[in-house]
Amino acid sequence: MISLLVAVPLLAAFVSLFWKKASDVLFSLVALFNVIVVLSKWFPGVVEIHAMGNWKPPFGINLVLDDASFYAALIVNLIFLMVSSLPVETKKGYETSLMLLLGATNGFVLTGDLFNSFVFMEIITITAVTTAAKRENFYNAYKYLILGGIAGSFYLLATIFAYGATGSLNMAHIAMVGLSGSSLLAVTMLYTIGLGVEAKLFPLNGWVPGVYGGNEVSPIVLGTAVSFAALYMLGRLFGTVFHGSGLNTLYVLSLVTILTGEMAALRESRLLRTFAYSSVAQAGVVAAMISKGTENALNLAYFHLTNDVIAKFVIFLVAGFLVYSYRDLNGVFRKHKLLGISFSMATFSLVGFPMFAGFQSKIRMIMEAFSTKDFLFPAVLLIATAIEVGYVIRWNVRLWFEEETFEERSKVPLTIGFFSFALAILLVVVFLQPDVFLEGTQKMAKALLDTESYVNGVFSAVKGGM
Amino acid sequence: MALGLLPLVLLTLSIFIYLVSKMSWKMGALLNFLAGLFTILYVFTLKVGTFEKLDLFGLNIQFEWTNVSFYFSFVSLLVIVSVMLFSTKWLETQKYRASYNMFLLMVTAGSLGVFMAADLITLYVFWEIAVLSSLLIVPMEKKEARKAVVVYAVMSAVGTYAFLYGTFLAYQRYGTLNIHGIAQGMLNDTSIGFKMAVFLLLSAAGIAKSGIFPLHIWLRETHGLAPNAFSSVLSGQFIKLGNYIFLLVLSVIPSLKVFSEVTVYSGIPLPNYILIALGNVSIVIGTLMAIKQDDMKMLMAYSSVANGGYILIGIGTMDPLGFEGGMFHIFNHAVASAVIFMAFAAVIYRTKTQKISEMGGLIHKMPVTFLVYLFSIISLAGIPPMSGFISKWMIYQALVRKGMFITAFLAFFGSIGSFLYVFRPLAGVFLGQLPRKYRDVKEAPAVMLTPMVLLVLISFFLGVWPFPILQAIEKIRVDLDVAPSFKISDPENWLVKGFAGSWNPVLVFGLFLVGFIVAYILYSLFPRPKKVDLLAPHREEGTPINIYTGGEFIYNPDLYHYNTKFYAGFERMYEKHPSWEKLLKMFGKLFHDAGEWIHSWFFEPSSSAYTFWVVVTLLLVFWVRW
Amino acid sequence: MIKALFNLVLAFFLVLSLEGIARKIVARVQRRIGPPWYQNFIDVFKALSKHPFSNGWVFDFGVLMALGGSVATAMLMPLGSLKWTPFPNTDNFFVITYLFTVGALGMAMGMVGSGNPWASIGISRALTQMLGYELPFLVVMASVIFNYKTASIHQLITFQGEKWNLFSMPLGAIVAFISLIGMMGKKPFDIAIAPAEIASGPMVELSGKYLGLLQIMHDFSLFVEISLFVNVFLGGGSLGWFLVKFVTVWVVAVLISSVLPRFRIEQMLKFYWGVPLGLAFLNALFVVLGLTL
Repeated sequence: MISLLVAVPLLAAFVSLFWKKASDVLFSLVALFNVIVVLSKWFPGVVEIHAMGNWKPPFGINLVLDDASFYAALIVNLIFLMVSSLPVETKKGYETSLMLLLGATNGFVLTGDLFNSFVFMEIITITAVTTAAKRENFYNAYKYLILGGIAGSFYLLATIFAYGATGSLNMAHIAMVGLSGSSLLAVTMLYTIGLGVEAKLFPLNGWVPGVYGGNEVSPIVLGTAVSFAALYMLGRLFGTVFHGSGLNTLYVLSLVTILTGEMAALRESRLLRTFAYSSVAQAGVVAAMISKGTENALNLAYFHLTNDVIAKFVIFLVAGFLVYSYRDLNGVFRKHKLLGISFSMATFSLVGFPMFAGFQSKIRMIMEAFSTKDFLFPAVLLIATAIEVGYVIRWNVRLWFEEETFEERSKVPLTIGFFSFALAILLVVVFLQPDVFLEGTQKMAKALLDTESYVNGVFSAVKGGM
Repeated sequence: MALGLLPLVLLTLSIFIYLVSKMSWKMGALLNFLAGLFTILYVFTLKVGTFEKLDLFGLNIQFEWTNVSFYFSFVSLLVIVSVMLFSTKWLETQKYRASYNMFLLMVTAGSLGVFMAADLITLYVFWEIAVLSSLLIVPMEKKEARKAVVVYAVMSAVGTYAFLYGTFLAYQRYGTLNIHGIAQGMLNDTSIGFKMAVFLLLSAAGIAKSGIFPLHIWLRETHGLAPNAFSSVLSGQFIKLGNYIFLLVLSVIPSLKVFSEVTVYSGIPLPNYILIALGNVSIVIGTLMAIKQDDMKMLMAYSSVANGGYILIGIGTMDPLGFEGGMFHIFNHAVASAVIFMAFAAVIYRTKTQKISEMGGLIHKMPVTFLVYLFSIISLAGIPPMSGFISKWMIYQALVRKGMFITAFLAFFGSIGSFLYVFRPLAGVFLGQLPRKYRDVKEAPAVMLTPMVLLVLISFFLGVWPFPILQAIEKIRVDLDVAPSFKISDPENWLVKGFAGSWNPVLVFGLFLVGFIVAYILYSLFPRPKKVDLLAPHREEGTPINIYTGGEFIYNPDLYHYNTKFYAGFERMYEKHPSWEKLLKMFGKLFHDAGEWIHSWFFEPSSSAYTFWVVVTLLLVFWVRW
Repeated sequence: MIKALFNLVLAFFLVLSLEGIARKIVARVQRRIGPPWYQNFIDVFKALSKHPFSNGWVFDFGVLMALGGSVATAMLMPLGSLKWTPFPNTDNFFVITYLFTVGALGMAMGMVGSGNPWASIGISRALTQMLGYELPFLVVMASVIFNYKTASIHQLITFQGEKWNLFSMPLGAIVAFISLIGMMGKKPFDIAIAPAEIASGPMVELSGKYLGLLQIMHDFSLFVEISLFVNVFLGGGSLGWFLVKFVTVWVVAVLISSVLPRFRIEQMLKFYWGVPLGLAFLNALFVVLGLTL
């Protein structure tokens, strides 16, 4: 069943090549289908696998569905469902790539095999680059391609080293056998670099502002779903497979990411790019929490990531619409009050003001850090938040209160208005009742760290034999 | 029972009021006023000592209603309700009326929540709600306010996040977020360094919010450029949030006992002394900067800086007189400041300008506003028989008693300096020559005058009979265990007792009255005066004004109004002063430039540069880990 | 209450006579004969009897407030001993100082309200001047109060039973005297009035009875200021001795001011914040260290 999550979008993508007129409808249907499939497997609690071609692991490729990958798959598919409901102009001509991206992301999240994840990662890179090229954003997409290719090479190298050291490509098998010594070091470092590009770690994240700031569809998809997948993989690799070694480098890199991202955002004068930098910084925050390795830390990391993804969806949705409908953004929210309110609410959630979800995640993260006697991370986080306050307030004031040059009011498509407002309300709901997400991320964190049951689950629940 | 419900109800009510205001802003403003009035009456009925635990938002929210809560809430609500009444007419000058009503009520809710909070997280939550709401009101009117609000936001964030860091530092060590729990923990803790760190971090929020040096620069532009009636709230009430933090940090967590090993001078512990030193500098800066301002509101913004310093000094000495003086000064400054800003708002409402140099002689047209302003500045400068004198008297007593001569000197300097800078708008705006363009200016509307007059009357009453409020403060002081055996207010003998003598406020007022009567008798005994019409040139072109000019005839009195650089001699002495504003703006620029550098090195260049960085990272990582 | 009224009557007659005597002294210093000692009485009554001009209700109100304030302050002032203290439980130093400022504020407000720019300039100078002389004076007084732990004037008098403060805190006394000259507005500190420069500054629009009333106010103020100095630093004393000390202080002040020119505002501020302030702090240091003579 779970392989359908990958197979159906791929199939639909190929079909849409020949049947261009229906690609839009196809996309929506596929996304809907995926969501239904995912929802039918609500938090399985145990590890379920699907062995491809009925080859028993560790000899074949298998897809794994446990609590962690379920949660990731849920988020990814829900986001794609929302993207598919966006108006046609947003994604015209790119539905094929988006469907491929959907399939590849699902695969990346669900796979239990290292080489398979490399393959899916490459597909993600290529389709992401294609999406990034909309609105003639060619140079930035090209840079992303180069960097993504290099990242892929490092990722492959790491996989090869892992194969060389353990003789297997299967994640569960590697987790069971375990790497050691210099091979562990080499593999974890290379994976850090390889994933780091996609996970937007410093200084590998140079591509982000160009790609996110280039058109209105790439940040909505890449900045939310794909980021989530990449950071999920970070947790999976370092948590389940490598048993939490190699985390110090990640910690240091992520702290630097946070600060550099925020400072770069401060000076930015274009709306989409500013929040692209903010995405960088938030990815750094999540990575820092992941690098702590405890269950609570992972729980909060993914809670924060969920909040961030929702807030970013709203922000990029609204910003994307406005940037390409108006030449001058001063005071534009006075024409679009609903969009403005949603946007403001999302940015305030980003900063962590109370009454919005971001507050819950930030406060808990700080509490967690202090309880493990980590005094550096809260300081960095708070400094970063102070900088965030600066540019968030600056943008909000400019978009609401500045004198506007006279321009005709563009009509807001219904889906954009609906989604932005609904998600903003969701942020408030999460503030009032954080357990809505916390329960899910709790399970996810548990599953990520529970190597034993992962391994057992993969090897025992096998259909067919050799 | 319904303790915690109050701020939450107000929050939801604010959204409702937004919708109502969309239809009719007058209705919305009126509803706001009624809600405020209801709250202030409700606050009186709340029982002291009520403790409530709510499980909201997945957090453990604890509310507690203490004497301190009541006092601060009362002061805040007094100011806010007056401004709400004022706004019912004044709002017509504003563009964003519905949002203003909503955010004003949210500020109220947030402030009340802060005062009721029994643990630091609750305090933080409501604090941020109040700050966020104020952030959205400030840029509503003027163009320059938009840049100012970013400075305000960042400085407030710096203070607030330092506070948060300190909170969690304490939480990690003492295991509780409850204020009393933390106080207990600090009493038992022996590590001075740790306690000082927590103390300073927590007070950072107070420093940023009250506008104490070094985080005071946001006051000038924010108060000066915010919508005029809201400046009243900002200066009269919002700053009190910062003062509340100081109270928490200095008294509720008994700093005398916690830091009893590190006393510096005359029994004052080191951290208190640091705060007092900061307060001193604030007084000097506030006074000197206020004296040379041309913009009325920026002048009063600096006055808020100076008065914040007074309050901090008063509370910081931990001396019974100083403590009560500081607390009483919170009330006095709130009321006086609110009235002064409202008076300015009224003047600006009629004249449409904010610069002192463009005004003059408005007493002929707006006499009630003038009187209201006059009495408030008498209170602010600390002159009897208004209540401001009593608080200043108590602070002086405390300072002299402790032998803190430098601080006393600076307090005197601030007091006399305040006389200078409050007199300047009086002379520049209300007295002197009336410019021709304001010939037809009318008095402010009655709805706007009423709250100002009421507040002035309250201040006047308390100046003559301060005992009700002194007793309330005394109760707080005894509760907080600050020299509980020393009694200051003595209502039966009508005496206010200090350590170095006492005095009778009723007698002082009586003497003043007698003096006035004697003067009036003498005045009326002697020949009647002939009136000089100062508005003659306005009424009839070509009539000179009938004042002594040594042989000249003044046909155009506008030119002869002395109100620019009023204290030129003094101002010249410190013209070339170093600017703290520039220093902090440099800091901001530092971050900006760092971002610029990061951007140009890591985020902008070609793909080969990206590859370069990847390789460098790889090598670095391997080198480090090997 | 009777004592308070007695204060007023005494102040009126005493100071007006002394002002007349002052004119005689200055004249002798300048080698002239000078007007008779009762000249000031004649001046005041003449002024009071003429029809004045009034520049508006603020002008009147200001004059009333000025006179009222100084009358109130004068009524509080002890005359050298507890026996002659009108209100023993309210003769706190700070109260007296600040009640004084009511008068100053009233005058400032009224004078600026006259609409004459000379008055505004004069008042701005007067206020700046206040910043100058008050500060050293208040620091000295703070050290005195700290030393005796009381701010009540009559108690301070009692504490000087054996030895005057002039001798036990000489530095403080000198500084207080210099401030006193500033308070009284005598040369070299009469920049606020500055007759030749700004047409008498604040008093430019005063005519008729207003001039007389403000003259009386000035007299009461002088009375309060000099009595303060006598009480705090010269030990007060019985009524007779009090008057003697009063006259002595006055004469010394007049002699000094008769031979000095006028300071400009910056010069005055720099002066006051230089040596006198330094000496005041030195005095405070001595007091704190317990080094009073």
